[in-house]
Amino acid sequence: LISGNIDFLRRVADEDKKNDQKVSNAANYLAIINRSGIAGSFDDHQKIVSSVLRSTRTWAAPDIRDEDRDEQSLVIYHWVLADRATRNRLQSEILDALRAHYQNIKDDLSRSLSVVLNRVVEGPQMVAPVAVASVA
Amino acid sequence: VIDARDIIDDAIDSLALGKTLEARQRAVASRSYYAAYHFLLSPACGQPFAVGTSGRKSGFHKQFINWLYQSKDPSVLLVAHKLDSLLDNRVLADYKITKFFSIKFAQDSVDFASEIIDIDLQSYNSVLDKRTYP
Repeated sequence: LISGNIDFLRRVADEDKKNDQKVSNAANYLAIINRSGIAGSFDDHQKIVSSVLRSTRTWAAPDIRDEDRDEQSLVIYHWVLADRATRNRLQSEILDALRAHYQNIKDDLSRSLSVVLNRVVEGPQMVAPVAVASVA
Repeated sequence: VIDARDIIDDAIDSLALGKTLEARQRAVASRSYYAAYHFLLSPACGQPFAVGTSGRKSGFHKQFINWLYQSKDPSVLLVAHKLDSLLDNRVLADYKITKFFSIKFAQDSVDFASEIIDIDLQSYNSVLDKRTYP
């Protein structure tokens, strides 16, 4: 889902179904993508997002939203170790790259943006463990 | 009569006074969203949408963002994305109360709303007020 491989998502959803999983995240994500009609552009969309964030992203995770909207949508958090100015720049770069791509393929960017919100958020700062010498 | 600037100023003061209180952080995220939302829906920006959807009750928030996403102007797209992120923070703040809510989300919300109100308007209001709601 995050890096743009809808075939893999389908395989996971199929596996979940075979294994009688009561809840399948993959199937739920896939249902949103299919219902909104963005399956054809989804892989490239997410690959572009990932290409911009490649050197800064530390972690990513998706979630489903259904509050204050008529249809369910997806949000994907991309945690980066970067200050606010850099995060804003990355977010702008993502939108610029997506706009150029959708113009190029003559497709509607707003449809995908309305369904998948890719957010660049500040990751937690790692604290190096400190060794404490004990003196007997 | 108050305006969006008053709401975001209050959110900024509120966060400064209660940085360690999770309930305060959530309230700040919620207020920040509404500051930006009301600002963008005001006559200078979102009036065509407000008129076109008057009487509608459900799905209004996301629908407004989706309308902004339809713009071809890069600065409007950026504003739409910021408002979408603000809405997401408000959903986390107001609906997902058993989930961890970082102060970073509250700070992000204040920053996004302030950017929309203080900075971004200059570049997009001339575009928005020419558009009509489909």
